[in-house]
Amino acid sequence: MTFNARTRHSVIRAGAMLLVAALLALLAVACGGNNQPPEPSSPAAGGAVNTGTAASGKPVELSFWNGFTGPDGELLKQIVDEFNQQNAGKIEVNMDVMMWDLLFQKLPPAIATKTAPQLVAFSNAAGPGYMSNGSLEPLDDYFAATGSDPSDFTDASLELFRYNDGKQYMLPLQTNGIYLFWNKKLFREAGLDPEKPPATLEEMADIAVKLTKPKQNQYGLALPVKSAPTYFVSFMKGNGGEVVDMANLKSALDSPENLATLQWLQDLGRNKKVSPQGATGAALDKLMLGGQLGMYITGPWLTGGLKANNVEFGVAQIPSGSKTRFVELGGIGFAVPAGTTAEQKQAAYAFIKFWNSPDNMKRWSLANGFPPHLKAVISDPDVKADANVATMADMGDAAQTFLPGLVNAERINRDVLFPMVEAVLSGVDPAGVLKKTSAQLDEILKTEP
Amino acid sequence: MMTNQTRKRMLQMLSKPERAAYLFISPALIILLVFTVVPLLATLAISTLRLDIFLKGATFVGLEQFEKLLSDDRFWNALKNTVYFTAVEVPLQIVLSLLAAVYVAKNTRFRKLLRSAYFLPYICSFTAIGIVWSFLLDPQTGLYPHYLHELGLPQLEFLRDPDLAMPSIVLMSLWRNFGYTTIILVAGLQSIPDSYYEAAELDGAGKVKKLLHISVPMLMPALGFSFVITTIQALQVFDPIFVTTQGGPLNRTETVVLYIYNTGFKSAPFDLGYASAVSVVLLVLVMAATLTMNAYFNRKESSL
Repeated sequence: MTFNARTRHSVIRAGAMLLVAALLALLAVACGGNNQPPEPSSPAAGGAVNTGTAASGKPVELSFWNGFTGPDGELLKQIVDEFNQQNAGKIEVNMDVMMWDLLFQKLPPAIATKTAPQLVAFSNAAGPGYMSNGSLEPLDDYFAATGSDPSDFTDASLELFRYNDGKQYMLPLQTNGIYLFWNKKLFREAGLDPEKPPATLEEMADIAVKLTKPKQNQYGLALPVKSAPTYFVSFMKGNGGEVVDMANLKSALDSPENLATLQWLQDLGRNKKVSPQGATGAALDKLMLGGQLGMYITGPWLTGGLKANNVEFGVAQIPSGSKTRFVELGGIGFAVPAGTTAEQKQAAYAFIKFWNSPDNMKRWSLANGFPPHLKAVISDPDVKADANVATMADMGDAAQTFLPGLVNAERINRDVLFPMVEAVLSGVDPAGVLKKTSAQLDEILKTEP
Repeated sequence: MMTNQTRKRMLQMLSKPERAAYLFISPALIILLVFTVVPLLATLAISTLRLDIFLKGATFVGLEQFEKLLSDDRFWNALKNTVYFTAVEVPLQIVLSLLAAVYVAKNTRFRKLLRSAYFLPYICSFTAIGIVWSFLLDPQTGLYPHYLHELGLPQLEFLRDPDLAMPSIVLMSLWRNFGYTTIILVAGLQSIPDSYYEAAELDGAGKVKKLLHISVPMLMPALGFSFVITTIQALQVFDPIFVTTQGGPLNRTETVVLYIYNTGFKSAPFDLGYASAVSVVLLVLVMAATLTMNAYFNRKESSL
């Protein structure tokens, strides 16, 4: 073949066509290959729980999504591995850890496109958003299927995950209240008894002022304005105020008790400056872990970091207000998205039972400093010996859910209540803020299904 | 039976250069269709529905979402913040990059190095930049508030202060983006023939006159492009705000795109219909701004 300009031209053109075809093929593969739904395994033994025939075949594979990205995630992985070993060949749990934000972004589209995991763990507050539109399987038959007794669990822990229609859509993984963490060293330096945390909100305010030294970057009490547990609800309810009239789904914010609480809060934050202005939960976590914060009302997740940073700290119940004490109960629960097959659901039950066995619960509790929700574990001597965990478990009647069953619970916290606190802490008149926030709350409550 | 005529015509069609051209642009066209055109049409459609992120039970509600929008305080606040951001950032960026471009247009080694230095922030991820700046501007642990305080200024809260948060974000955005427009203007400047400047010097023109009466008019195409691109980017600002203040102290830095994200994707009830309606309004706004500016600059160019 003569290699002149014409043949060269056609060779180049042929080569270019080939390249384009290859690129198109690559595009098709890349875009098409991602959305493979997990194929439900062939019917295999349902794990250690039901008395189905142990058919030989592939193990039931469960995809388990959760957000335990911290050190507690390692213990979770260990427990999952132990379960997989015990159930080798029958059930395999594949744990997929991601940040909570990412989990909540991925989960709704996954459920909508039927590519959801078989087991997922998330907080009780996010629950109603999924329960209200049938995205989760009811788990009421868990107790019958696994031979467990509902009275093994504390009543509060099961109630936390029930929906308005009475069905149990989630089962407890862990539950917690929020507590007062105090820095014993700072107490001692200020001449206070390091073993005596404040019992009332007034005492807490006094101590906070004594511990505040802004020049040394030391603050007395954390007052976060976003990304934190709703500590201010304990203040408001403790002083006799109410946030939402749950029976009628109307705002109960605009009351003289709440006004007094907000004025007290504004004085504490704005005038006495016991907390850095406009601080978020994350920033205050750091301050506490650095030993520069006197008191912080937050959840048990902080204990790990405090121990790791050698901060001398104590845990106490939240101080009472003038009328009562209120501790918001929260927790993380297991959920099974709708569309999971019966075998997979039984396999999920097997894992949930394994998790909620006294031994594993005790391990989790003591390792992470979280209160247990199984009555057997609460009365275990080792657990009682751990002062912090014992205190946390001893919440009594004060522990209640906040905004139970509301689809908009998270939105209310984030877009209505925290901005209210932020406005008050930056000096806006509390009376006006209360009225405006109350109206906003009513607007949102109207959209509840 | 294929006649010779038909076969000849078929061969002609197959070997037309246009066919090859279409084949070459088809990958880019497919990407554009799938990731831009189809979502755009879908957004227009969803804005007339009431739909949540689980894609169950879409109900047609016509213009109800748009009516809701008109009475939504938070939307108007977001719009105000966006317009404020654009009105401040765009002129500042153009002026800053024009001055920088005039300085680095000459082809000395040092100036060429400066060009790269100015462009460097633009290739960095806005997320990483946002995180670094939020550390630098932190009132308790940040470097800049500390130094400014030492110099005698009061303790500035920057990103935590409702009045200073948006200006801080404008500054961050300026610092990151001005390199891009500088490079564009440098390219434009280097295409202006020296003879114009020499003629002006002969007539006794100083630096400022040369800038205003020669550089700027000759740069009209590049300036027009920079203006339009910068405005579009500014109206859609999201990254720096999401990473640093998430809507900021008392919602003072919440822009329209951030509001869309918060409404549709952040938490229950994931109102996609309403978020889409807000997106449509933003689309109309950006289109209006772009078309107006395009018309203005085209007129300016043709009047040269």
